[in-house]
Amino acid sequence: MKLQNLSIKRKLMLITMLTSTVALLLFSASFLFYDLISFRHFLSQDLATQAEIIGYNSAAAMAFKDEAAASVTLTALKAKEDITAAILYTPDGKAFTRYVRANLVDPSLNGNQPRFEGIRFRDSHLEVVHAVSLNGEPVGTLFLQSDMSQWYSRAKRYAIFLLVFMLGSDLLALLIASKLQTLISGPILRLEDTMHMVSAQKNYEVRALKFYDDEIGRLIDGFNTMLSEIQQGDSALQSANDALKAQTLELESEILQRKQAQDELLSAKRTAEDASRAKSSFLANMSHELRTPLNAIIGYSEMIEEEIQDTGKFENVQDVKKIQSAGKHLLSLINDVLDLSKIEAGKMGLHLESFDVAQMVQEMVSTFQPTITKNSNTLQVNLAQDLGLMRADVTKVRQILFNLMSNACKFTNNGTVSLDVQRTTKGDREWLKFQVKDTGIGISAEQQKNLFKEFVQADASISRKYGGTGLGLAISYRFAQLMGGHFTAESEPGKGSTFTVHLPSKVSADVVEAVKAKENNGPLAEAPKPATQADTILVIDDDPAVRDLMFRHLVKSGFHVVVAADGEEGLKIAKRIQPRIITLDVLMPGIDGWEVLRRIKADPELAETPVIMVTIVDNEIMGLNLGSSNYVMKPVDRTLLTDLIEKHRKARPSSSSDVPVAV
Amino acid sequence: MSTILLVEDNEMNRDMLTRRLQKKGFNVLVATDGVQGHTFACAAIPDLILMDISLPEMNGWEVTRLLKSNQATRHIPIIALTAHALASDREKAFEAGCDDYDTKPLDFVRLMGKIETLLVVKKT
Amino acid sequence: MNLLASPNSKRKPNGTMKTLRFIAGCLLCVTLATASYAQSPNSSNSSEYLIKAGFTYNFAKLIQWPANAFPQPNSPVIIGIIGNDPFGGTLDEVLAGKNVNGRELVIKHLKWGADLKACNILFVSSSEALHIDEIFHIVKGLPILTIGETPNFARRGGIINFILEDEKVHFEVNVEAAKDADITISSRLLSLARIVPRTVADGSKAQ
Repeated sequence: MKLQNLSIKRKLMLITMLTSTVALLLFSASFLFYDLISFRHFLSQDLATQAEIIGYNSAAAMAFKDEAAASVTLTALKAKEDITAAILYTPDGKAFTRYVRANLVDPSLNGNQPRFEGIRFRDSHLEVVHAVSLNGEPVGTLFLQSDMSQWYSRAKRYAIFLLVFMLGSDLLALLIASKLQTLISGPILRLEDTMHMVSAQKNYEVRALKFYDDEIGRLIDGFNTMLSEIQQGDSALQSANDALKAQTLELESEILQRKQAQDELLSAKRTAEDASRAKSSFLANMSHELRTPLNAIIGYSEMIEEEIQDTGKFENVQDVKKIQSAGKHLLSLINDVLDLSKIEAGKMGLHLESFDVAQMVQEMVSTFQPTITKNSNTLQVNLAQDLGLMRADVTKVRQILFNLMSNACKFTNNGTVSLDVQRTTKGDREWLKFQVKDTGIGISAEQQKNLFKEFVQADASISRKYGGTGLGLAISYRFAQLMGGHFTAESEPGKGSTFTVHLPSKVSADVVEAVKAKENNGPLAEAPKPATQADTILVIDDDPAVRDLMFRHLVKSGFHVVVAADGEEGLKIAKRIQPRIITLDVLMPGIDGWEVLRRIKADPELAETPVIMVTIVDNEIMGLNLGSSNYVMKPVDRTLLTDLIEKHRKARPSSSSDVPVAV
Repeated sequence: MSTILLVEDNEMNRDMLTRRLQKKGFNVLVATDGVQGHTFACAAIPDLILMDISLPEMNGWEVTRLLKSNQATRHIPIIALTAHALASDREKAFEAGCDDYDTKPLDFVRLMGKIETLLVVKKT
Repeated sequence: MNLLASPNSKRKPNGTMKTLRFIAGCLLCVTLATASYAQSPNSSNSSEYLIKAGFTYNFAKLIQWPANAFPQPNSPVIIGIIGNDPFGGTLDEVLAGKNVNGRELVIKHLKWGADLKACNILFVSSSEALHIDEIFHIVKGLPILTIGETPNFARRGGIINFILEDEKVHFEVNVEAAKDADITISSRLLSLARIVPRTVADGSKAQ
């Protein structure tokens, strides 16, 4: 049993007992020691005194050599029990008379006068040798011997007493200690109990009782404070735990939702892919199936016409020609419908190749010569010198041009149709500008609205009068879009119309990619409005991380994105590329977003550009007052941003810089 | 008189073209599927082949490839006739070895131009 | 060593007794001589008187004279011997160089007359046995320690009387005589002595 591990109570009591015992022991010992020493001293003094007295009393007897008298004197010593022997010696050292205590035999006493003087201790006897003199005259020597019985008995008595006293005191101390130790151990034990309770029940509301305002009291205070903190911590932990649990549940359900959404998306994708494939094969089949009979119709009617020419039965020629014409019309309708279907289905791909622009135009010119002459129109073709090469989908370019030209011819009588082709630089890219002007009937403002929409010719009667399917322009527009170009029209009824197509001299793969991406999303997306140069989004934000994020997100959504790191740069770029939409961060170094916004709105070229403020500063009213079209808070909700951008784009289907305006 | 082998599975197209070509003074051989077309080409060694692409038994590309890899028939100019108007078809045609191609619906005049060009070339 | 009966008996002296005592005295002398020979190397016939001398000295130590006994503080203690000096030179020997309370001890041999008064201790030799009363008369009232060695000396008024008994020297003390002489005898001495009451002049006091 290790001492260190005793209980506090035992320890305290042990300490007390030990302390008091040691103290008592020391006291007793020193007291005893001192006492016995001084008693011994006293005894020797006493014996010496006795010797003196006896000496004095026997001096005369010694002087007179009265042995009897001397003996009497000595015999009186019988009364003193501790005196063992008293011997008077004559001056010559011989024993004169003696007294020896009863029954005592000590051969050492039988001799001459001992050779010492004074007091000495020998063999636990106290011996005194005293010179006896009568009035200064030595008359003999007294030897007095005492046993130390007094001393021993005293020592014994005292020792026993002290022992008993010590024991008694110890006992008392024990009692007191055991009562008083509770002052210390009590609070500690209480504290221990409290601690056990706390840890066993995990109940942190319990508080330890404080008894006194001593160190233990402070310990208890500390303990209670700790408990409070633990309690707080615990409840904080609890609530954090709960929050975490809730969050986890939320996350789990969100994950579940996402999974479900993902699964749905996957199946939708598969469905879409299937649908897409179905569409492709349908279109391919339809294309073939529809054309084949028509082929026959047109072909045979041509043949019939030839034979009629040969046989000379001219009256049937008109009929046959009508068949032909109807067939050709049907064919072009079918072609147009199939084209549009393809475009709608996102199956219209671009096949890029480089070709000589001038050459291509020249080749084409001959094909619509008949249409020109039909309406007695004059054709003017102006090709710039530096047209050079173009990289685009030739077939489509041809189709666009043919469409424009035939429209021009169709709606002009005795007028001039001119085709201008130029190479221009806009932004940082090179463009080919194809412009078809006519001096025809023109298009009213009302009609201009629906110009590029399918199935709407200016007027139902027009298609009857002028022919055509009404789909041509829509297809041309779409083709131009596909290639990253844009289409504009100006017209004044009665005066004529001008149709301008800008096509990039190098139709870029990005565009094609973006288009392809959009095409693949076919059924899920709207009519593919691929990101074109006109649909560039300018992102102005000083945070590179934000810029990167926005860029990637918007590109993924099919836009063309340009980024700027500060307001000045952003304004420069905006002026240059005329973006479709600007997203603007407010808090930037240099000029802040508000200032940029002001300047945008103040610039006539940019004023119409929708600006979406993207920022952490919550000041929607200010933004709206300044004309920011919309306002989103960081962190940006991607879907929200995309929706906003889409909204703006749809609101203005054409490029912001070329707005159809009635001239 | 030049001989043209027409490989076309559609009856009406076949009929139209044959008659019109004959009118133009060509001798017209007809095959109705790819295998037949190949056989006739090897046997008759025509002056020109009009090859429809979508053929049963063997499609036009295959036949063209076979003919173009055959020493005996390599020299025969082949014009592919395709209903598809994709540029990729044009490429495919030239890849297979066609000398030219034309799209349906056929513009007879246009086709004639191509035929004549090729025959002239061949002659020279 | 037992000594024979002391020559200083208390009975009245008669012729036979005198002779007997004389013989006894001789014997005693012889015994004493023998004894003193056995006891001390300085044996002399006067060992008895050696002892008496010693005793006398001791007496001097153990008594107190009144203040008027000495003229001056350093006056010596005069021991007068009247009669035949039995000590020989032993008293001188014993007293040589000694003092009592700082007083020297001077021995004087006294003649009859006023000499007797001029001492502090008067030793009455046995030769003067017949003149004892006369002596007492002379020194009556004077602070003189009278020492004798004849029987009844003390009874008759002497203060101290030597007795020889069994060859041992004893002494008697007459306390009243001491009182008369204004001499204080230490109890120590008294305890060793035989106290003798005074007898009337005819010495008829009972023992």
